[in-house]
Amino acid sequence: MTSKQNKDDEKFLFSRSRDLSESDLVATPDGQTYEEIRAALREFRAQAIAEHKAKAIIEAKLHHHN
Amino acid sequence: MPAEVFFHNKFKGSTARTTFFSDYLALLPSEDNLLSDFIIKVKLGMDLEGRNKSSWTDTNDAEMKSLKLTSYKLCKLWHYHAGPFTGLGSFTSKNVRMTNLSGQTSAAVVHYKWYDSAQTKLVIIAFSPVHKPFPGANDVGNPLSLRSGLLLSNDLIPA
Repeated sequence: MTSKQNKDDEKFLFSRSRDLSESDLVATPDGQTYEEIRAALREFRAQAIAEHKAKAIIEAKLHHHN
Repeated sequence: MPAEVFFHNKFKGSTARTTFFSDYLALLPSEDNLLSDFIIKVKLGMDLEGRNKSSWTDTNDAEMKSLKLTSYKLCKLWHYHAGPFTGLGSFTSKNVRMTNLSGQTSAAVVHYKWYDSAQTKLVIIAFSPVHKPFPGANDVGNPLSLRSGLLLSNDLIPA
């Protein structure tokens, strides 16, 4: 291990940990059966991708106006 | 026993991708299928056929005496070999709450931790398309420690 790596690791050693909070969590969709949950996850992912694209478009427009 | 499954919000909302880590929005369809299979089986309380272990221990379940793994132990990070599997040889399937060193291994890995001590809520922290055993906590693109609740000393501002 190099001295740089040692220094980087020390940053963690001298850190303090905290627990995750509810605000860190995003629930995944539920269902009664394997196929139901699979379908719900597909829809969930499609929506996440659409939301990300919409956000990127808005940010690009704001950047263009600034 | 079933468990609730959550994404870490930074995993769910990000597009970062390196050789060893991919966020949710950057997953390939085949990787999304592997992740979904894991999520569904955990939600339904089904046994898992992949290797499942804590991220600071070796394949004999012995703690690795390595500084770089300290953060994984502090954060109680685990990872599950998500497939695809060869199905060759003998292997065991176990519930996600159990260490399964005899499970099948694979390139793809799901990194997760339990939100609560009762292990009712599982949080997915990251996905590795290719498993790099014991990645350094500060490796480029490695989100594991910071998303698991560890604060860098650099992030602290004395009051």
